[in-house]
Amino acid sequence: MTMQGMTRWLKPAALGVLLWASLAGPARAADFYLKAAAMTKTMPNAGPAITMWGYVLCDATFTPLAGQVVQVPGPRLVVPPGDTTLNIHLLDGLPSAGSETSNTSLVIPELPATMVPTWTDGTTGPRTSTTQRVRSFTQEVAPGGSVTYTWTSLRPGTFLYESGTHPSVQVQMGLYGCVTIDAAAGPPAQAYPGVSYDNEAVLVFSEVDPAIHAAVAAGTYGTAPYTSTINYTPKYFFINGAPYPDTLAAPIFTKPFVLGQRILLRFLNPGEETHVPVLQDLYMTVVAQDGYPLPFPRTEYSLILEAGKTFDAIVTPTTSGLHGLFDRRLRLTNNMASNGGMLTYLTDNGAAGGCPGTVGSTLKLSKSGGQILFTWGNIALASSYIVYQSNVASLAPFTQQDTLNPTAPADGTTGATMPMPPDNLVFFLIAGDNLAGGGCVGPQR
Amino acid sequence: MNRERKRMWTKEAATLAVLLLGIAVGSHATILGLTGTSPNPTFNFIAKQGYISTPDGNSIYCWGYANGATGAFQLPGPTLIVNEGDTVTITLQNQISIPGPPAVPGPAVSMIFPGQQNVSASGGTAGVLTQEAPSDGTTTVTYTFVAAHPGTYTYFSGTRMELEVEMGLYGALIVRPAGFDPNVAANRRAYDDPASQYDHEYLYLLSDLDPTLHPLVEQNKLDQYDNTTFFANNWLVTGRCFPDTMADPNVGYLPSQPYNTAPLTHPGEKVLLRFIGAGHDLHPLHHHGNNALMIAKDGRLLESAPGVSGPDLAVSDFTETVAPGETIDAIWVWYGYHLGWDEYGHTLGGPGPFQPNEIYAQSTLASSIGVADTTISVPAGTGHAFLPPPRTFRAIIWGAGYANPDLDPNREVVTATRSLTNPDTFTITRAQEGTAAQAWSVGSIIADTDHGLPLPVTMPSIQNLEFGQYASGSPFLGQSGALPPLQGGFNPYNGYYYMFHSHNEKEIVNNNVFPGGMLTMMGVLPYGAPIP
Amino acid sequence: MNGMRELGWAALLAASLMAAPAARADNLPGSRPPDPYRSRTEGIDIQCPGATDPKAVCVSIACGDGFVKMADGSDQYIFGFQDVAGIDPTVMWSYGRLGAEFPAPTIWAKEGQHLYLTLTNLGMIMRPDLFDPHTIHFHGFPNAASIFDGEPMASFGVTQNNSVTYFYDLQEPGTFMYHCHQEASEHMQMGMLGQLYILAAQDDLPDGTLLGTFTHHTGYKYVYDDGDGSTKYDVEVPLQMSSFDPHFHAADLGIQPPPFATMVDVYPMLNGRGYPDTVNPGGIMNNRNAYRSDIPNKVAQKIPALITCTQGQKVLLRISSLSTTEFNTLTAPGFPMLVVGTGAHLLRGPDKPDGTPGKNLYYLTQTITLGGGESTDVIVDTTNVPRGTYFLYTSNLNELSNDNEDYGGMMTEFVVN
Ligand SMILES: [Cu+2]
Repeated sequence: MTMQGMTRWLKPAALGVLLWASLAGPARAADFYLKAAAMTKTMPNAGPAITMWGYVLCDATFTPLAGQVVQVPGPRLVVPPGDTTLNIHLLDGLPSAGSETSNTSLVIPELPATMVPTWTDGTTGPRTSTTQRVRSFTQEVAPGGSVTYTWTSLRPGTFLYESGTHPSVQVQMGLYGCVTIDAAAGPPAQAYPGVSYDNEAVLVFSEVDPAIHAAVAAGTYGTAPYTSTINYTPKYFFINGAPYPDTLAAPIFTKPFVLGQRILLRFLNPGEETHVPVLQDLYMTVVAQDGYPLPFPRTEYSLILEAGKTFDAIVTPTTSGLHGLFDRRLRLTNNMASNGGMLTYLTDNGAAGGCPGTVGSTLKLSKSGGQILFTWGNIALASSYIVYQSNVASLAPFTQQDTLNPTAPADGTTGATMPMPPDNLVFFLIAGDNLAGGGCVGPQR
Repeated sequence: MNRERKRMWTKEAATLAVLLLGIAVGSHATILGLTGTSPNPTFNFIAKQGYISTPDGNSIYCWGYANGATGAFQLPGPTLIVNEGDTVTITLQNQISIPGPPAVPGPAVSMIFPGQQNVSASGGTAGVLTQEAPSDGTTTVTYTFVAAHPGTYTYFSGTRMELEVEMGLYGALIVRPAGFDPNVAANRRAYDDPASQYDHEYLYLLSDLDPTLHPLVEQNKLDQYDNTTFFANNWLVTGRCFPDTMADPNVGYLPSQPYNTAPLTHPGEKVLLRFIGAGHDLHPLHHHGNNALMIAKDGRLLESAPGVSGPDLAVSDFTETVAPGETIDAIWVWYGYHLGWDEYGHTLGGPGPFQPNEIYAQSTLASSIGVADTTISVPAGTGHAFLPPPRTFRAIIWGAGYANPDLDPNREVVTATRSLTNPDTFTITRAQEGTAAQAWSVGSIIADTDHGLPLPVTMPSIQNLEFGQYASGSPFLGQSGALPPLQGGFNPYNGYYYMFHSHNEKEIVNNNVFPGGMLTMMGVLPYGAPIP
Repeated sequence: MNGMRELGWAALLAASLMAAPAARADNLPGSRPPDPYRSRTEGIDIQCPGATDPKAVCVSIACGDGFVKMADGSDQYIFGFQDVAGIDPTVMWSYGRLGAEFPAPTIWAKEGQHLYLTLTNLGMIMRPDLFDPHTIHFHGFPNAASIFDGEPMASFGVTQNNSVTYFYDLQEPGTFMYHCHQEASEHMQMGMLGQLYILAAQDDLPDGTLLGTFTHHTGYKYVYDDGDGSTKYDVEVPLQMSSFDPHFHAADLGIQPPPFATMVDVYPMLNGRGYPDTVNPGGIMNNRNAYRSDIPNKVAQKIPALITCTQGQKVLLRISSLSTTEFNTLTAPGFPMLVVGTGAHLLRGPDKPDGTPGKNLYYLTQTITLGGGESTDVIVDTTNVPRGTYFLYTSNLNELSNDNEDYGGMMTEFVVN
């Protein structure tokens, strides 16, 4: 419950780092401490700042762990293989929302648990009249309080965790995340018995209707025109909490992407609509849904990813280039603007063997005076970096474009510049010359 | 407005309009498209603009892939029909010019091919997913791939899809398996597997459009174009709305919508339904008449051992969920088994003619029986298996020398139940329906059949009913009956018709007019009726 | 452009206008009024063969209009069916006035039986100007003949004050549906939707029969003739998804043209109820008396959606959708769902050519997604489900609403005692 559990936390998948204690003792229980709180997410193209509710990973005193911030989707929770108990300790740090409840709770739909409902009249336990309505599917917690949810019937799989309180509002606000439990740690890791993988990506599809968020933030949800969510009209469409092109701000893979390796795609949809992710140029083998292995795997390039669904699929790219992954429901805009929404790429760097994630989260690219400026964080793992470029559309293998030596831009980060390439739209990748560090950015207009 | 009057107009308009176009039966029974020249078929596409016509009287500005300089704007784009292993090349130019005012060049367009691997693209400019052709009318983008796997696929624009797919830039791609031969039944297959053999094939490319968005594009008001509030009011099958789906292909009054979907078959024949989701929404495509067996998705057979087992994971259903971007192959057969009455209206003993689909299960007696015996031994035979216990079923026994029971004057009707412990042993009740018990020798024929059973209910006077266009006026296949004036008339061979339609029923209207939209009528014609 | 065609249409419309529509009404589908010189009962003929067909099971259903109450208290005008078993034709009209129910009465029969299903069209009390025919479409009936398919374009609709008896030789068990197919976009939105279940003949095997390694005992029930006992269940619950657009219903009540083009459903329902009416084990009384003072209120929503079982039981959820507008996904935190059937078929691959049974394709899931006209059979094994109250609801979370009322919509409860 305490120190041991704390050491097991994972950085969010977006950082692309998998860390958990190798000292998993005999306790066989995974403990995570989450605080639910409000945050703001700014949409691309000078879009609006949207109030959302998310989770932040904390220590046992509910103090955010170093580098952790409130995020949507919530931090990925990785339960070590073999653990028999999962405890999620939840602190309700949600703001007051007018007549809308700020009490909250947490459920994992795919895992059995003992649940005692809370009704809108505030009572708990079995229903006592035919007019009661459920507010929380399980024990809820009021702002400032905390509660522990325990699951003891664990099985391997990819699962959602999400608010079990007034879900039409709280899940829409962003209270959702991903729990994964592997069958074996490997290497190679096994997602399910007999289903091994070399690399993985978590792909959380969700939508945002800014009007509902604005009403909740203003404390006016529950009064006209938002007395219910029936007229839900989403305008922003996320993969892992960001719409394209922000989907490219960080690698989606946890490890360097190597051709021929088995990549596990963990699809989750805590949104309210069915999405149909389509893979360009690739097929995937669907091996499980909702954390239940399929009796027979299916080979397809599209998935019907319903609201509340999870799928696990293995893809094994053998050719270099960008493989588009997009929602064929055409949720491909940021509000009205084209080239947005649920679009990202499965990609490799071909020549260099990978896109390590260690600096990816802070790697940035900007254009200035005919030059492209790369900046990254405070780490310099290599004495030089290599830029790889590919024409996005031709899907040609990446070619080495330049070698850059780190400099020190004015803001104190590490950076390097190179001349602007001729094509308007290109994709860059930087790998350290020792292949120990690097990152991906682009495509960039 | 008086609602009754409103309805009458719409119905009358629909009825008369179709009459005006001629009887919409006997349309082509296969999938039309461009085949190119194997093994290196090349297609030259030009994105063009034009108008499609919907039966609610609307004319909707759309974009589409046209077949070369001389090909007219069309929706959907040409169906490409190539062979497994072909190296397929498609060149794309873009002539879209938004009328405005002010007139402006259209956006760049492109093509992507889900399900095809190692697609190379060259020329034009780089887009988010592939190379794009700007609307200069001259820049050429070339896409090349090897059609490595047979199956049903789709293509569509990979550029600003929420705009360009809405506007009509999509189409079908069919890859024939190696050895395909439409004229040799055994080689008329969808995949490299005998379980995908079929007699007729039809394309159901399903799309949906919001007619309020298209004028915004036409008038160059793209700043008002918001696809997040997409609200369809027209639903199309391969580019047409019912009743246009049932008109002939390439009819003059639908110059931009060349493809029909007017399926026909005979009892017992296998109909391959190629479903493609090409719009925004999922559609539950319900086929009346019988379940279909979904054998493939996304161009891959549903099989436990790919390339080996055949479609052993195929699923039977009465409604196929067709999601955008995906493809489904399903085989639908109408047998007419076990209606509980003879669908031909035959009486026992003739005159018939006895038809091939009248027998559900047939075998021979393994040992002789006398007139008083009540058990028989029946090894496995042809057709379906006899019904398992505890079911009882009607059967006819007749002499081995006769081709069918009508020809044997001594035929005997029995009811039968198979033994729980030995399925080859049947307990029978003798001499049913006025027939006499006979002594039957080894090799006598026994069949589960409804042949000669009368219709169990009396149909009301036709004055109590209102008949549709595809009604024959008779319960029996191949027969007609009297109909009130202006009813029926679209069923010259007196077939059985089945609606194949979106079961999200709001999708079978054209705007405010019912019926319409995503709807076609499948005709099961009596044997001998021609199917082109 | 299609000027010619446009002209053609315009000319046709104009011609129909000028041709005195009222005079031609009698000849046009959907507009023929009842013959004033016939009695209301003359056209009713309820055919049930009795002893001459020992396999016969007879169902008599009437259709017309009525009212139901949504979970937010609003009244909705509906078209619908009602059970008129045993009601004599001479009193059926007065018995059945404004008596439509939603969902329609559930029809149960057994594999191997002969279903004689009589539909009587009683006409519309609130819309005496409407003479719509109606039909029954047995949705999913295998090898249907057009004559009994109830799809009027290929057959016929039954006009007002008349009846027809449909005949079905029930060869296959499963979770079917039925609905009116006349002007289906309208009549189905208006509520002519019901459930139709064919029970498996395997239920009737002699006690002790071996099904592979499974021993059948009298009283055991199965979803399909599985041959191995794998679809055995203890408790059976119907769950039909549907939804209403109140503006559409108001238009029909208000003698307006049916507004197909603006159809948007805002009352998502299970078994014709929004939450929490779904969990009310009783019937829901309507408010038709407010619209016709001579007709007292009626319980017109008779099918609860509450699921109750004892821990250890296997619960069969017969889930279908007759939504006229959309797909819905159901989710159920806390208990696993085993899908054993779809499209009124056992979920198995095709039999091999040598007759060996196909591959078992049952699968576990946490969600069920159905569009209109789709059905599935789910078995919940509650052996390892802790006692308590669980929720089965749509994960299209915005539909947890009764129109503008929150905490409602497509949700019900699963109580494990
Ligand atoms: Cu009706």
